[in-house]
Amino acid sequence: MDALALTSPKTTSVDELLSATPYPERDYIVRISTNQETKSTSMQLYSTGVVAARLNNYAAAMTRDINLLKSVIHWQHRRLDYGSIYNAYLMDQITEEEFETAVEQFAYEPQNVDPDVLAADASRVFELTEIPYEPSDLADLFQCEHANMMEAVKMVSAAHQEYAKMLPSGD
Amino acid sequence: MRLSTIGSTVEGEKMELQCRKFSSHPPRRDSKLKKLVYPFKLSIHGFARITETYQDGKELCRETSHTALGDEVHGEAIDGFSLKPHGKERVEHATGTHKATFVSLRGGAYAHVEIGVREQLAQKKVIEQEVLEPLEYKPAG
Repeated sequence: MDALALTSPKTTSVDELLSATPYPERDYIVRISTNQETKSTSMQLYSTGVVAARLNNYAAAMTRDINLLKSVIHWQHRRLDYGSIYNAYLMDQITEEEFETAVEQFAYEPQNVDPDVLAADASRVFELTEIPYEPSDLADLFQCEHANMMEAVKMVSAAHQEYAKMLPSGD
Repeated sequence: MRLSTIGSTVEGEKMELQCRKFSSHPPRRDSKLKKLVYPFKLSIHGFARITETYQDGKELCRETSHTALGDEVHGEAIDGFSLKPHGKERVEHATGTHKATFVSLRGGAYAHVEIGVREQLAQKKVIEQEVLEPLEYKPAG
Protein backbone atom coordinates (compact mmCIF):
# COMPACT_ATOMS: atom_id res chain seq x y z
CA MET A 1 0.00 0.00 0.00
CA ASP A 2 1.33 3.43 -0.90
CA ALA A 3 2.37 5.30 2.17
CA LEU A 4 4.59 8.07 3.38
CA ALA A 5 6.48 6.64 6.30
CA LEU A 6 8.12 8.81 8.91
CA THR A 7 10.26 7.54 11.69
CA SER A 8 10.81 9.48 14.91
CA PRO A 9 12.44 11.33 16.36
CA LYS A 10 11.20 14.06 14.06
CA THR A 11 9.17 17.04 14.92
CA THR A 12 6.94 18.47 12.29
CA SER A 13 3.66 20.20 11.99
CA VAL A 14 0.59 18.67 10.42
CA ASP A 15 0.61 21.32 7.69
CA GLU A 16 4.27 20.64 6.86
CA LEU A 17 3.61 16.93 6.80
CA LEU A 18 0.57 17.17 4.56
CA SER A 19 2.28 19.56 2.18
CA ALA A 20 4.98 16.96 1.55
CA THR A 21 2.61 14.11 0.73
CA PRO A 22 2.05 12.91 -2.82
CA TYR A 23 -1.75 12.89 -2.50
CA PRO A 24 -3.49 16.04 -3.63
CA GLU A 25 -6.85 15.32 -2.03
CA ARG A 26 -5.41 15.79 1.48
CA ASP A 27 -7.68 13.19 3.02
CA TYR A 28 -5.68 10.53 4.86
CA ILE A 29 -5.83 7.64 7.25
CA VAL A 30 -2.92 7.73 9.69
CA ARG A 31 -1.26 4.71 11.20
CA ILE A 32 1.02 5.17 14.19
CA SER A 33 3.12 2.28 15.47
CA THR A 34 5.92 1.94 17.97
CA ASN A 35 8.85 -0.46 18.06
CA GLN A 36 9.97 -1.38 21.57
CA GLU A 37 13.33 -2.72 20.41
CA THR A 38 14.43 0.33 18.51
CA LYS A 39 12.50 2.74 20.78
CA SER A 40 11.10 4.45 17.75
CA THR A 41 7.71 5.57 16.62
CA SER A 42 6.69 5.60 13.01
CA MET A 43 3.75 7.14 11.29
CA GLN A 44 2.30 6.12 7.96
CA LEU A 45 -0.23 7.97 5.88
CA TYR A 46 -2.60 6.31 3.46
CA SER A 47 -4.88 8.01 1.02
CA THR A 48 -8.40 7.54 2.35
CA GLY A 49 -9.65 7.17 -1.21
CA VAL A 50 -7.22 4.31 -1.89
CA VAL A 51 -8.11 2.52 1.36
CA ALA A 52 -11.84 2.97 0.72
CA ALA A 53 -11.50 1.74 -2.88
CA ARG A 54 -9.63 -1.36 -1.81
CA LEU A 55 -12.14 -2.17 0.90
CA ASN A 56 -14.99 -1.65 -1.54
CA ASN A 57 -13.31 -3.89 -4.11
CA TYR A 58 -12.87 -6.59 -1.49
CA ALA A 59 -16.51 -6.28 -0.43
CA ALA A 60 -17.65 -6.44 -4.06
CA ALA A 61 -15.53 -9.56 -4.67
CA MET A 62 -16.96 -11.23 -1.57
CA THR A 63 -20.51 -10.31 -2.62
CA ARG A 64 -19.90 -11.81 -6.04
CA ASP A 65 -18.49 -15.00 -4.52
CA ILE A 66 -21.43 -15.30 -2.13
CA ASN A 67 -23.92 -14.80 -4.97
CA LEU A 68 -22.17 -17.47 -7.06
CA LEU A 69 -22.24 -19.93 -4.19
CA LYS A 70 -25.92 -19.14 -3.57
CA SER A 71 -26.56 -19.90 -7.24
CA VAL A 72 -24.84 -23.28 -6.88
CA ILE A 73 -26.87 -24.07 -3.76
CA HIS A 74 -30.17 -23.10 -5.40
CA TRP A 75 -29.27 -25.13 -8.49
CA GLN A 76 -28.55 -28.23 -6.43
CA HIS A 77 -31.69 -27.63 -4.33
CA ARG A 78 -33.73 -27.47 -7.55
CA ARG A 79 -32.24 -30.80 -8.63
CA LEU A 80 -33.03 -32.34 -5.24
CA ASP A 81 -36.64 -31.15 -5.43
CA TYR A 82 -36.91 -32.57 -8.94
CA GLY A 83 -35.31 -35.80 -7.74
CA SER A 84 -38.02 -36.39 -5.15
CA ILE A 85 -40.72 -36.12 -7.83
CA TYR A 86 -38.69 -38.34 -10.16
CA ASN A 87 -38.36 -40.94 -7.40
CA ALA A 88 -42.11 -40.88 -6.86
CA TYR A 89 -42.55 -41.55 -10.58
CA LEU A 90 -40.02 -44.40 -10.50
CA MET A 91 -41.85 -46.00 -7.57
CA ASP A 92 -45.22 -45.67 -9.34
CA GLN A 93 -46.57 -43.27 -6.73
CA ILE A 94 -47.53 -40.95 -9.59
CA THR A 95 -48.36 -41.60 -13.23
CA GLU A 96 -46.32 -40.37 -16.15
CA GLU A 97 -48.90 -37.68 -16.83
CA GLU A 98 -48.76 -36.51 -13.22
CA PHE A 99 -44.97 -36.52 -13.41
CA GLU A 100 -44.99 -34.38 -16.57
CA THR A 101 -47.29 -31.88 -14.91
CA ALA A 102 -45.36 -31.79 -11.64
CA VAL A 103 -41.94 -31.20 -13.17
CA GLU A 104 -42.98 -28.45 -15.54
CA GLN A 105 -42.38 -25.95 -12.71
CA PHE A 106 -38.64 -26.60 -13.09
CA ALA A 107 -38.51 -25.85 -16.80
CA TYR A 108 -36.63 -22.81 -18.08
CA GLU A 109 -35.59 -21.57 -21.48
CA PRO A 110 -31.78 -21.36 -21.83
CA GLN A 111 -30.58 -17.85 -22.58
CA ASN A 112 -27.92 -16.71 -25.00
CA VAL A 113 -25.22 -15.45 -22.63
CA ASP A 114 -21.89 -13.83 -23.49
CA PRO A 115 -19.20 -16.52 -23.11
CA ASP A 116 -16.84 -13.91 -21.64
CA VAL A 117 -19.20 -13.42 -18.70
CA LEU A 118 -19.73 -17.17 -18.34
CA ALA A 119 -15.99 -17.83 -18.43
CA ALA A 120 -15.33 -15.58 -15.45
CA ASP A 121 -18.20 -17.09 -13.43
CA ALA A 122 -17.41 -20.70 -14.38
CA SER A 123 -13.78 -20.20 -13.45
CA ARG A 124 -14.72 -18.67 -10.11
CA VAL A 125 -17.22 -21.47 -9.33
CA PHE A 126 -14.44 -23.99 -9.86
CA GLU A 127 -12.03 -22.01 -7.65
CA LEU A 128 -14.62 -21.77 -4.86
CA THR A 129 -16.05 -25.29 -4.98
CA GLU A 130 -13.05 -27.20 -6.41
CA ILE A 131 -15.59 -29.28 -8.34
CA PRO A 132 -14.95 -29.52 -12.10
CA TYR A 133 -18.56 -29.40 -13.24
CA GLU A 134 -19.00 -30.49 -16.83
CA PRO A 135 -20.16 -27.97 -19.44
CA SER A 136 -23.69 -29.40 -19.51
CA ASP A 137 -23.96 -28.97 -15.73
CA LEU A 138 -22.56 -25.44 -15.87
CA ALA A 139 -25.01 -24.58 -18.66
CA ASP A 140 -27.81 -25.83 -16.40
CA LEU A 141 -26.44 -23.85 -13.45
CA PHE A 142 -26.33 -20.59 -15.39
CA GLN A 143 -29.39 -21.49 -17.52
CA CYS A 144 -27.58 -20.67 -20.74
CA GLU A 145 -27.11 -22.35 -24.10
CA HIS A 146 -24.69 -25.28 -24.07
CA ALA A 147 -22.74 -23.73 -26.97
CA ASN A 148 -22.15 -20.56 -24.90
CA MET A 149 -20.74 -22.63 -22.05
CA MET A 150 -18.48 -24.64 -24.36
CA GLU A 151 -16.97 -21.35 -25.58
CA ALA A 152 -16.53 -20.25 -21.98
CA VAL A 153 -14.88 -23.52 -20.99
CA LYS A 154 -12.48 -23.13 -23.90
CA MET A 155 -11.49 -19.69 -22.57
CA VAL A 156 -10.70 -20.93 -19.07
CA SER A 157 -9.09 -24.19 -20.07
CA ALA A 158 -5.62 -22.63 -20.08
CA ALA A 159 -6.01 -21.69 -16.41
CA HIS A 160 -7.78 -24.87 -15.32
CA GLN A 161 -6.54 -28.20 -16.67
CA GLU A 162 -9.73 -29.90 -15.54
CA TYR A 163 -11.61 -27.93 -18.16
CA ALA A 164 -9.03 -28.63 -20.83
CA LYS A 165 -9.93 -32.31 -20.56
CA MET A 166 -13.52 -31.51 -21.52
CA LEU A 167 -12.67 -29.92 -24.84
CA PRO A 168 -12.84 -31.80 -28.14
CA SER A 169 -9.37 -32.71 -29.37
CA GLY A 170 -7.93 -29.92 -31.42
CA ASP A 171 -9.34 -27.16 -29.21
CA MET B 1 -20.85 -47.43 -35.31
CA ARG B 2 -19.46 -46.66 -31.86
CA LEU B 3 -18.22 -43.12 -31.18
CA SER B 4 -16.26 -42.12 -28.12
CA THR B 5 -14.55 -38.81 -28.82
CA ILE B 6 -15.71 -35.65 -27.09
CA GLY B 7 -18.43 -33.96 -29.09
CA SER B 8 -19.75 -37.09 -30.82
CA THR B 9 -23.55 -37.11 -30.98
CA VAL B 10 -26.32 -39.52 -31.86
CA GLU B 11 -30.00 -38.78 -32.41
CA GLY B 12 -32.93 -41.09 -32.95
CA GLU B 13 -36.58 -41.79 -32.25
CA LYS B 14 -35.69 -44.31 -29.55
CA MET B 15 -32.51 -45.00 -27.63
CA GLU B 16 -31.25 -47.43 -25.07
CA LEU B 17 -28.97 -46.09 -22.35
CA GLN B 18 -26.55 -48.11 -20.26
CA CYS B 19 -24.27 -46.90 -17.48
CA ARG B 20 -23.23 -47.41 -13.89
CA LYS B 21 -24.56 -44.01 -12.77
CA PHE B 22 -27.68 -42.50 -14.27
CA SER B 23 -28.93 -39.03 -13.41
CA SER B 24 -32.23 -37.56 -14.50
CA HIS B 25 -32.27 -33.77 -14.49
CA PRO B 26 -35.08 -31.20 -14.36
CA PRO B 27 -36.61 -30.37 -17.74
CA ARG B 28 -35.87 -27.31 -19.83
CA ARG B 29 -37.37 -25.76 -22.96
CA ASP B 30 -35.03 -26.44 -25.85
CA SER B 31 -34.55 -23.21 -27.80
CA LYS B 32 -34.13 -24.97 -31.14
CA LEU B 33 -36.89 -27.59 -30.81
CA LYS B 34 -39.23 -25.18 -28.97
CA LYS B 35 -40.30 -28.11 -26.80
CA LEU B 36 -39.88 -29.34 -23.27
CA VAL B 37 -36.99 -31.83 -23.07
CA TYR B 38 -35.98 -34.18 -20.28
CA PRO B 39 -32.19 -34.08 -19.76
CA PHE B 40 -30.09 -36.91 -18.40
CA LYS B 41 -26.46 -37.62 -17.62
CA LEU B 42 -24.67 -40.97 -17.86
CA SER B 43 -21.51 -41.51 -15.87
CA ILE B 44 -19.11 -44.42 -15.59
CA HIS B 45 -19.07 -46.51 -18.75
CA GLY B 46 -21.99 -44.81 -20.41
CA PHE B 47 -23.52 -45.95 -23.68
CA ALA B 48 -26.37 -44.42 -25.69
CA ARG B 49 -27.49 -46.55 -28.63
CA ILE B 50 -30.09 -45.80 -31.31
CA THR B 51 -32.75 -48.51 -31.31
CA GLU B 52 -35.17 -46.78 -33.69
CA THR B 53 -34.19 -44.15 -36.23
CA TYR B 54 -35.98 -40.94 -37.05
CA GLN B 55 -38.34 -40.76 -39.97
CA ASP B 56 -36.85 -39.03 -43.02
CA GLY B 57 -36.89 -35.28 -42.90
CA LYS B 58 -36.76 -34.99 -39.14
CA GLU B 59 -34.83 -31.89 -38.09
CA LEU B 60 -31.74 -32.74 -36.06
CA CYS B 61 -30.37 -30.87 -33.08
CA ARG B 62 -26.94 -31.07 -34.64
CA GLU B 63 -26.30 -31.60 -38.35
CA THR B 64 -23.26 -33.81 -37.65
CA SER B 65 -25.19 -36.26 -35.45
CA HIS B 66 -25.07 -39.93 -36.33
CA THR B 67 -28.55 -41.30 -36.90
CA ALA B 68 -28.25 -44.88 -38.18
CA LEU B 69 -29.76 -47.82 -36.36
CA GLY B 70 -27.20 -49.17 -33.90
CA ASP B 71 -25.05 -46.03 -33.84
CA GLU B 72 -23.94 -45.38 -30.29
CA VAL B 73 -21.83 -43.04 -28.23
CA HIS B 74 -19.63 -44.30 -25.44
CA GLY B 75 -17.95 -42.24 -22.77
CA GLU B 76 -17.32 -41.58 -19.12
CA ALA B 77 -19.74 -38.66 -19.20
CA ILE B 78 -22.60 -38.53 -21.67
CA ASP B 79 -25.31 -35.92 -21.54
CA GLY B 80 -28.46 -35.71 -23.58
CA PHE B 81 -32.20 -35.46 -23.46
CA SER B 82 -35.41 -37.08 -24.61
CA LEU B 83 -38.70 -35.52 -25.58
CA LYS B 84 -40.69 -37.87 -23.36
CA PRO B 85 -40.00 -38.69 -19.70
CA HIS B 86 -37.32 -41.35 -19.35
CA GLY B 87 -38.38 -44.94 -19.00
CA LYS B 88 -38.03 -46.54 -15.60
CA GLU B 89 -34.46 -47.43 -14.68
CA ARG B 90 -33.69 -51.17 -14.81
CA VAL B 91 -30.71 -52.82 -13.15
CA GLU B 92 -29.51 -55.82 -15.12
CA HIS B 93 -26.33 -57.70 -15.76
CA ALA B 94 -24.13 -55.87 -18.28
CA THR B 95 -21.26 -58.34 -18.07
CA GLY B 96 -20.78 -61.69 -16.44
CA THR B 97 -19.82 -60.03 -13.18
CA HIS B 98 -21.12 -56.46 -13.20
CA LYS B 99 -24.56 -54.97 -13.32
CA ALA B 100 -25.51 -51.71 -14.91
CA THR B 101 -28.46 -49.38 -15.14
CA PHE B 102 -30.52 -49.47 -18.32
CA VAL B 103 -32.98 -46.79 -19.40
CA SER B 104 -35.15 -46.63 -22.52
CA LEU B 105 -35.84 -43.32 -24.25
CA ARG B 106 -38.65 -42.58 -26.69
CA GLY B 107 -40.31 -39.75 -28.51
CA GLY B 108 -37.00 -38.51 -29.86
CA ALA B 109 -33.63 -38.46 -28.11
CA TYR B 110 -30.20 -36.87 -28.32
CA ALA B 111 -26.95 -37.96 -26.67
CA HIS B 112 -23.53 -36.34 -26.68
CA VAL B 113 -20.12 -37.37 -25.36
CA GLU B 114 -18.82 -34.90 -22.75
CA ILE B 115 -15.87 -36.92 -21.51
CA GLY B 116 -14.66 -39.66 -23.79
CA VAL B 117 -13.16 -42.95 -22.79
CA ARG B 118 -9.80 -42.21 -24.38
CA GLU B 119 -9.43 -38.97 -22.42
CA GLN B 120 -10.15 -40.71 -19.13
CA LEU B 121 -7.72 -43.51 -19.88
CA ALA B 122 -5.05 -41.01 -20.85
CA GLN B 123 -5.38 -39.32 -17.49
CA LYS B 124 -4.94 -42.65 -15.68
CA LYS B 125 -7.66 -41.51 -13.37
CA VAL B 126 -9.41 -44.02 -11.18
CA ILE B 127 -12.95 -43.92 -12.48
CA GLU B 128 -14.58 -45.98 -9.84
CA GLN B 129 -13.77 -48.21 -6.91
CA GLU B 130 -14.53 -51.66 -8.20
CA VAL B 131 -15.47 -54.22 -5.64
CA LEU B 132 -13.82 -57.39 -6.81
CA GLU B 133 -15.58 -60.64 -6.26
CA PRO B 134 -13.73 -62.69 -3.62
CA LEU B 135 -11.51 -65.34 -5.10
CA GLU B 136 -12.46 -68.83 -4.14
CA TYR B 137 -9.58 -70.35 -2.22
CA LYS B 138 -8.81 -73.91 -3.17
CA PRO B 139 -6.10 -75.58 -1.07
CA ALA B 140 -3.45 -77.52 -2.97
CA GLY B 141 -3.85 -81.22 -3.28
